[in-house]
Amino acid sequence: MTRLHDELARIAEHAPDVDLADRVLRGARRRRTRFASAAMALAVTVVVAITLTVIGTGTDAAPMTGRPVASPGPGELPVKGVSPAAYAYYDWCGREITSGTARLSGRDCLQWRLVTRSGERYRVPEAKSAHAGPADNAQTLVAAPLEITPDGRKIAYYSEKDQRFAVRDLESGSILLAPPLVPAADVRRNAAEIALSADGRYLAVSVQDGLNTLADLETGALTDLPAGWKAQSIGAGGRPVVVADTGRLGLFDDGEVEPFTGRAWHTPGVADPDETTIAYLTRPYPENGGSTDPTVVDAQIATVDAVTGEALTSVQVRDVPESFFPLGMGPWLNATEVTVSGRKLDARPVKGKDNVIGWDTFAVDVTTGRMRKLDTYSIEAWAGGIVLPGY
Amino acid sequence: MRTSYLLCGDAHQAEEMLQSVLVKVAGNWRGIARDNPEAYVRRALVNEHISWWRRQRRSLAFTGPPRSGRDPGDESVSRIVLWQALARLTPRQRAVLVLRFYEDLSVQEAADLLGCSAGTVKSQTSHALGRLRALAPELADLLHDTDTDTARQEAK
Repeated sequence: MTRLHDELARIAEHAPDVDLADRVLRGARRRRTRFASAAMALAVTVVVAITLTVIGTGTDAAPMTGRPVASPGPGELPVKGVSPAAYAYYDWCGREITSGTARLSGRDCLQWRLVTRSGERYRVPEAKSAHAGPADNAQTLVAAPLEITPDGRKIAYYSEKDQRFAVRDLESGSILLAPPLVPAADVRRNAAEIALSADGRYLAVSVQDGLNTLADLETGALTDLPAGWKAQSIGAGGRPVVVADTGRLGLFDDGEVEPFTGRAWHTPGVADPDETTIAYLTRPYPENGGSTDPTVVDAQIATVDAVTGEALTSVQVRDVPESFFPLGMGPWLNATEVTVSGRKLDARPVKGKDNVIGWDTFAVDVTTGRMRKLDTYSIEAWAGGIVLPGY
Repeated sequence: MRTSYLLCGDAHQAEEMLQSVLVKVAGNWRGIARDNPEAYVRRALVNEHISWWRRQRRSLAFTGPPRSGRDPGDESVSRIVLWQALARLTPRQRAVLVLRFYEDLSVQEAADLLGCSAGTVKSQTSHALGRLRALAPELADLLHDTDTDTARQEAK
């Protein structure tokens, strides 16, 4: 036994003290009963099931609107008239969180902050941010998701008071809700993910082991995505929808997914402004089949046809910074360059400042593979996250 | 549950992960029971953790390094520092450390469970320990005897 073992054992003592066996067995029995009933129903009525499930396209579908905070306080996002967003972030109040997060519960500084292109900085109290506490060791450091359209005019976030994901037009102040009810506990525990279309009209919401749907916010129509595939990016007008499972990328259309890659480490991108081409970064899994090396080694920047998924180009990425770890791909900068955000593993972007974290953005040329740095976004924080428009 | 908690670092997620794995085990119990159910659950947990991490990596949160100048002899502080440093390892590196130094599996046992070679486990262990040292130099004392233990196990 080593001291490391002893320390790990002490940490493990904080694991939840719950007996899952009974819960699992009850669930398994329930599923068996359900399966038996379903099989009988199937025998009586022969139904050809098609993967496509469209919910709400009938007469029941209707858009849902939300309400902004009636009278925002000082520093809070105004009801309307907000100029386009440059980025959003949360910073855990700039505090070191080694002793837990419970003491930060309810603090304004936990909220998402929105920074506009004209330099204003607002708190966004209606957007659910990171969860603080209650136990010191239950540190879920990632906030509920927030996304910004590439033009910075709309933001998507989780509205706790509506128990739904919402998209807000910053200029007009109008708020549209994605119809499915998503309890706050599910957002916190089950790693809810969203993808907002470039025009802000479509919002995909997925919650682990539950909801996985694409909402047209203007009509209220919902389209379920096939199990295992999650939306990564959505073009303006709702097409193309780039989806990913564990290791593959595909296009979702007419209720079906057409994979356009094999299994590898992919960083999915968005369609170009013409919506004819999709770019993505790809690098092979290590030979041992594991996922031990997430840094960009032998990465390729590839493009596919946005309609057919047909491979168009693939070139080796050049001038990759050492230990660069891609986090996401953003909008196209011009006809041949696409943007990528990332950071260096084990390195702070702002040297000499331990309490500053940051992310770099780069442009990658899909024809030459050449990579060049664009900007660094940094915040004074020990932990947190940043969201850029269109990423 | 404890292994699940060490792998993912979050109480709620540990519960969800283990429940999800146990549901799969319960559904295929006849097939699994003939084999080695404990190893199956461990392997399924590691896989579940890695796939969860992949889903999450689009919105990773970054934790700053612990403030320097603390007394490395302070047990609770080193635990917190270790906890934070573990959170910054890749899921595979974290899994290797948990399997080898918490579950006390041999190199070969860990390799069988992870579906890779013994050499890969050795190199991953070495990388993971090296990264822990780089992320949290104050853990040097805590990690000191892992070298001896690693050498002893590898000699087996």
